[in-house]
Amino acid sequence: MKTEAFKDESRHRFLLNMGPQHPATHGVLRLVLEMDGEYVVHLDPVLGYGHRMHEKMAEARPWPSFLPNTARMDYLAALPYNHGYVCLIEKLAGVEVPRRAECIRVATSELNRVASHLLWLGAFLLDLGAFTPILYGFDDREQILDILEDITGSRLTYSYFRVGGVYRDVDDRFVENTRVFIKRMRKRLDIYNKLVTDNIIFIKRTEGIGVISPEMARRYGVTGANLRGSGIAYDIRKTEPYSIYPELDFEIPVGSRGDCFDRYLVRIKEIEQSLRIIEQALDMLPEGEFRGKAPKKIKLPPRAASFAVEAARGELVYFMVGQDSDVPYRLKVRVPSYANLSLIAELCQGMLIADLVSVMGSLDLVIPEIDR
Amino acid sequence: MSGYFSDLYHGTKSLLVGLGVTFKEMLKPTVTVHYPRETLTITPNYRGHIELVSDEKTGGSLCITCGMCARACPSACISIHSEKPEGSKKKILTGFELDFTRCSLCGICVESCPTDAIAYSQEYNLAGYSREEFHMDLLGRLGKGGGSLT
Amino acid sequence: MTFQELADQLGAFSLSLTASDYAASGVYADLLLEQRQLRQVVQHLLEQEFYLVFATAVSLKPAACLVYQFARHDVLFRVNLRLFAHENESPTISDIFHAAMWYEREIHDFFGIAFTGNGDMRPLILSEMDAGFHPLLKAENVCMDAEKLGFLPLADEPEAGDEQARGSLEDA
Ligand code: SF4
Ligand code: SF4
Repeated sequence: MKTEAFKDESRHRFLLNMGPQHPATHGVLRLVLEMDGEYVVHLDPVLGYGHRMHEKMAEARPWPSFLPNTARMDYLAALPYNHGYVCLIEKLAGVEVPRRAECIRVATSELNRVASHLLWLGAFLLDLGAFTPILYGFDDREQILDILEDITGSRLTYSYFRVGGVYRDVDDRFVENTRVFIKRMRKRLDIYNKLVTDNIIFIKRTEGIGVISPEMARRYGVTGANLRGSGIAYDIRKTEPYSIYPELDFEIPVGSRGDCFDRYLVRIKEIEQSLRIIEQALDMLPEGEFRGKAPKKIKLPPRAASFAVEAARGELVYFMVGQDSDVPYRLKVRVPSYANLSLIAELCQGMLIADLVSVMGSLDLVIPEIDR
Repeated sequence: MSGYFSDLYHGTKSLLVGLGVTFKEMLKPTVTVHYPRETLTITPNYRGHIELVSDEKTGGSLCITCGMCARACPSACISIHSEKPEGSKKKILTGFELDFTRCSLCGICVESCPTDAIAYSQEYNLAGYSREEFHMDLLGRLGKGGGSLT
Repeated sequence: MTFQELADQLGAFSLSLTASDYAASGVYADLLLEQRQLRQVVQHLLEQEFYLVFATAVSLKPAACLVYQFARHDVLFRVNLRLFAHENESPTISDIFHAAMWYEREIHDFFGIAFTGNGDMRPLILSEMDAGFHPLLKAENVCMDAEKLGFLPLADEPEAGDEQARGSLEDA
């Protein structure tokens, strides 16, 4: 709709409250919409329903006790969150991580990323009214959860990484199961492409909708697949590589137009790349220790330090200020969805409400991560 | 106009291809499990709530009441009661309680125990009518009618 | 963009960018600003195609320190800007980097720092009921000195107020 019509105050408007309990907001997010008929004139997100003050908890306990918390911000891809946190501590304390542990970390993190993308795929299409893909997505995701459960002991909030390594070693069964899964997943991607990517209804509902320009993405600090959909090949795994990522051979898929369809395509291609990474990490997996020696007591030095990793939704940064004790003075977690959601007010102005749902789905939001 | 017809053609084709996929899947065996009539076997590595390990020699607990686990727990859900019987040098465990309502199943307690006196249980079917049901007396569970240190 | 290029550009504003030990601190450069310089520098960073990674605050003595981290999409180059929010006030940058809108509202929730020029200071994460409650603000007895945590260079004679020695600090 033309924006001039919005300036016309005489037109009848009404307020629509979307959420906090709305399936399309993926968590408890409330959107206050000012509507002109079917069009969104103004949008105001209300956050904080799932706020737990993780940053305060971090200031109130020794750093090892915060590890379980990191898994509970983005519960769909908890391992990258573990990864960033242990990496930061390892950096501050100068702890060496055995190579086997690094390979395990990367393989499991990427498995987790695939699981997260699969759930997003299902939920996104569910938002658009397609029910079938979520069932297929869950079937595949279940395989990943089974593999991860077998080594980590839990299915969602893993707390699997430890400073200096991982909590439990992997065995041949893990390697075998993962290889079987990769084979299966490659075939399944074909099914997804047939079922979704080429589907005319899906294309009509996503193409040209919610276009994020590179300039807008920069102003809002958008990261992850949402940024790559706009054509910027920015991925922490490549630009600021950590762990064994520099040695791995993978590509960063990018889109060109920055609309919902491109964001979708980038994530589907990312699944493919993640499978490649897992394969390589498994090939590399050396014998040896899975948990190196880490000092029992690590004092966090009195200065600021940050560490960035690529979580499933974008750039995750832990910023920590120590105070010469094992309790951090301040821990800031920069969560990707926070910035990714903040542009929604600008992005969705003048949009049909049905398209707003499509945009929300394509941004891949996890609200508890935003609220922390 | 030609765009319209090619849209129509490709669109219909894409829908039929999609239907083909679902039709093929329909003929495949079910992937879900009819719980509770069927259950899956849980991996031995599953991290359930913690449990005291029984000492094979005495049948009691391996715990030396050092309190490491209680101190390491991020949610303060472990409380340990011990007493020193007269004439004995070592403290003995008289109670080990877990407030499972707050436990985050992180496993830090298991890792911090110097004597490996705690382990994960395999229980995952946990449901109850009241909060109190999850204030677990682990020592009592270990004893289950004898062998404990009382 | 390299460290030297940015240092030269900022030199035009008579600011000296300090190199930071990346291995230890995770950033390449570090800059301690005064409040009146902030918007100018941030505007420059926008023009140079930086993006705002996050903005946060650290509760310190004599005043809370705001930390803005910027990075680039094309090369690896992280920069921290720091400035002290004297009197719990600081200029907004939310009209330059729109991402800052929510960060500033969050900092206002958690630390009670008001951003002058930001028209929307409603609570974001906390609720209206929590007005006046700032969970991350440290109590007097546990609040650390900025010098001790490396947020300010060790001054010979510490003085409060706007006159802070600037520039010569290594974060590491
Ligand atoms: S598993 Fe974690 S939360 Fe639960 S009792 Fe052990 S240390 Fe505490
Ligand atoms: S750490 Fe082990 S030995 Fe020590 S109190 Fe806990 S269970 Fe007992």
